[in-house]
Amino acid sequence: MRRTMTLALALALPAGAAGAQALLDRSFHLGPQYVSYKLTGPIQENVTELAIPFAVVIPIAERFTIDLGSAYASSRVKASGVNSEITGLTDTQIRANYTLGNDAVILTAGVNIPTGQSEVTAAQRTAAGRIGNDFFAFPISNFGSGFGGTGGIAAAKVMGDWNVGIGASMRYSASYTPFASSASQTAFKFEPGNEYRARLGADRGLWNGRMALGVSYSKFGNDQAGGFSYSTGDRIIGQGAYSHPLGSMNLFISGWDLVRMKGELAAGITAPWENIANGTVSLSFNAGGMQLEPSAELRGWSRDGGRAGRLASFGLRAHIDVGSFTILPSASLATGGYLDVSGATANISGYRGGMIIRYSR
Amino acid sequence: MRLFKCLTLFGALALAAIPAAAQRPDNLTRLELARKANPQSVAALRSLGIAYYRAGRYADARPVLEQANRLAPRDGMIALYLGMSAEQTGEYTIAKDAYSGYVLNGRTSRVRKQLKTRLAALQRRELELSAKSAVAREASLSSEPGSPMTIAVLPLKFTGSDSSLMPLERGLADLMVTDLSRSPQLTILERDRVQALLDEISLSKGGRVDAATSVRTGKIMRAGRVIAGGVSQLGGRSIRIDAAVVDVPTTLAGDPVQAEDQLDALFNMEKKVVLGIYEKLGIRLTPAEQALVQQRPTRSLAAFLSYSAGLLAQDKGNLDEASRRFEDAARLDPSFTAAADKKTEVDNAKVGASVTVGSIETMVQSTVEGSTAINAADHGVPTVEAPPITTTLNNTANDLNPGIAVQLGATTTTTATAPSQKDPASTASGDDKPAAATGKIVIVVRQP
Repeated sequence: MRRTMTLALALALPAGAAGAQALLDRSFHLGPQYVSYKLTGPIQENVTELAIPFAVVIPIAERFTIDLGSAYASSRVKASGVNSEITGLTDTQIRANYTLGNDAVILTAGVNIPTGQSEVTAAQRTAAGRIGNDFFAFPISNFGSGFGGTGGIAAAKVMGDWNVGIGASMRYSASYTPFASSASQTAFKFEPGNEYRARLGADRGLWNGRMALGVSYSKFGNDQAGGFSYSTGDRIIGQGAYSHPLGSMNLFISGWDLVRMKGELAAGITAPWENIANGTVSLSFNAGGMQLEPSAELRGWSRDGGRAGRLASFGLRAHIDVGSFTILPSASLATGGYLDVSGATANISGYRGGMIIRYSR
Repeated sequence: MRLFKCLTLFGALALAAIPAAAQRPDNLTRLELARKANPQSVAALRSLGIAYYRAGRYADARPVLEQANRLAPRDGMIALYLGMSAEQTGEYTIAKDAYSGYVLNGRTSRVRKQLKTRLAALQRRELELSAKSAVAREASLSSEPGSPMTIAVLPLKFTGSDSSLMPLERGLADLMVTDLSRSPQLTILERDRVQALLDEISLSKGGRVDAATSVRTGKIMRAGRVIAGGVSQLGGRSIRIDAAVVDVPTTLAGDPVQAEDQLDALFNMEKKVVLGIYEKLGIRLTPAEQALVQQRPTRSLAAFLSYSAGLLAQDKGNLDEASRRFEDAARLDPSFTAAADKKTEVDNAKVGASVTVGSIETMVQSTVEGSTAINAADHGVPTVEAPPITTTLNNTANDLNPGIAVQLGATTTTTATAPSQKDPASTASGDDKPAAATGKIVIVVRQP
């Protein structure tokens, strides 16, 4: 349930860091972040999230790596008539990767251990739900979603100047109770449909930079809720990135596009197709013994072909190496607009700050 | 208009006809300027190093490629051209390390295969040259005493009438090196390196090796102690193994450790001698280390004799004979992995002897990675290699099975990342979207 974009990582690394590109070296990661968005206008809402994700990566053998990750998070929504809050540990994910052959194939498996709160009360529901919004892209997108398991296989091959990666996975989620029942409501079980995902990616050196492209398609089985079967729509995510040295600096351009196809909500309401497109430009350079990286990001959200939201963010990140520690403090400001299905609008202002601390040996 | 098209076509053809070599001086200048503008640019260093090599400026190419190699140790083409430059300037240790880098990270399997054979062939040449160099620098090398925990094992001297047992000189020394390496407290010098130095010293003394040679060998190799001894054929099938620890700085030899028995008990005798040496060195082995020392490479005496004969032939540079002997050893005892490994090494060296830097470059030019890098260097364009295939593989696996560890590894906090998974409950309920009516949200679940 967490946001990831490993493509960005591969390209963000300078060429000289290639030796460190074995993604999962033995390491401990801690990444406290605070994100706040304020909507003003006909829609009045203030959504904040404090997230403290942490992860441990343990190489068991040369070809076998396990990692464990979880988070402590607190989400709050303040709106007219609503004051919702949820705090606690989220689900815990354990993943294992086994490499076969000469770095040609990885078998990957993961389990979602339900250590987080999946059953929310009426008072917590808004806070628990808002962080799942794909447009705002909160670092932690839910507190709990019951037991789940993922299995997949990935393969990569050099094809001329290109490295090509291909793979498929299947995710199973057990049923859980998402909303606590009250006197007037009957508790119902919710069982998310299985997800079948396919991925095709390719990267190569281009001029004196590096380029990577990728596309993932997620086919979802029908969700089951209270005996009713429906689907919120399949998803396609396309990604592209290019890094290019400019003298002693490094330019990084990336973009992603998420298409959610037409679906249906649990209430039987049609959910029109949606598209979220995001583009980022950043420039990193050395300054006073650290690396600084200012960035600008634009995001657009459309629903059924019409505009639903836009967001512009400007941020600054530092990269500091201290012995075995890597520290990445960052901050950004955002501004934009939002239009809901009824046509009500809101201006968006927001900020996020965080610090990732990584220890590896 | 037609004239313009003709001129354009003529111009394009004329440009295409300019040979790459003719463009080099310009391109070297361009690449040198690119490096000057950014001395840490892997792309500039990579293309400049390759361009220097192709211009025959091997001594200029090597330091440039060494710097690029330090910055991008997984770049196969940098490693390959560094290896070729070093080989051209006679720096075989650097060449070996660089070629090993390509074998590990290079993208083209047929080049990797060719380099494996070249590496094996370079091994002997590098040993000979480093032995010659060490003897030439004897005065400076001998002035500083080596650590008492650094030990050179000399070949045991055979005395007896059965010449078929003479190769045990090398085989037993090889076995003792393996057994003494079981203790992490000791640094045991490689047998073939010690042998190469002994050969060089004996050559300078007209083939004679006397008692002082062992101390001299130890001094040159900066060993604090030397293990020297012999294997003697007694009456019948009895033999005796003697070994003494010689202190290099004082030249004093300790009391020898001895073992005497039938030839069939050769490995028991060797273990007894090695354990005696450990005692003389004052090293107490852990039970795990003792168990490792007690391991036998083979149960077959005949296989070991054949293996020893293979070592002797290899030391003398007779690779055909060595290959046959190692093959015999592996056939007599298929579980004797050291013999099979040695056969592969020797066979590779045989093939690698006919591989030259010229043939390597010819092969590289026919590969996609090689032609891209060479073309860029010839045209003065800095280039980098595609990321290692492991990055592509990990990215694919992590996209299929995302987790917090991957998210935190991505280190992108100023910019949001693509939502890799939906939150099923809020997506289904619509709770994820802010709405004008922010009162109570009611989900109506229809009856099935």
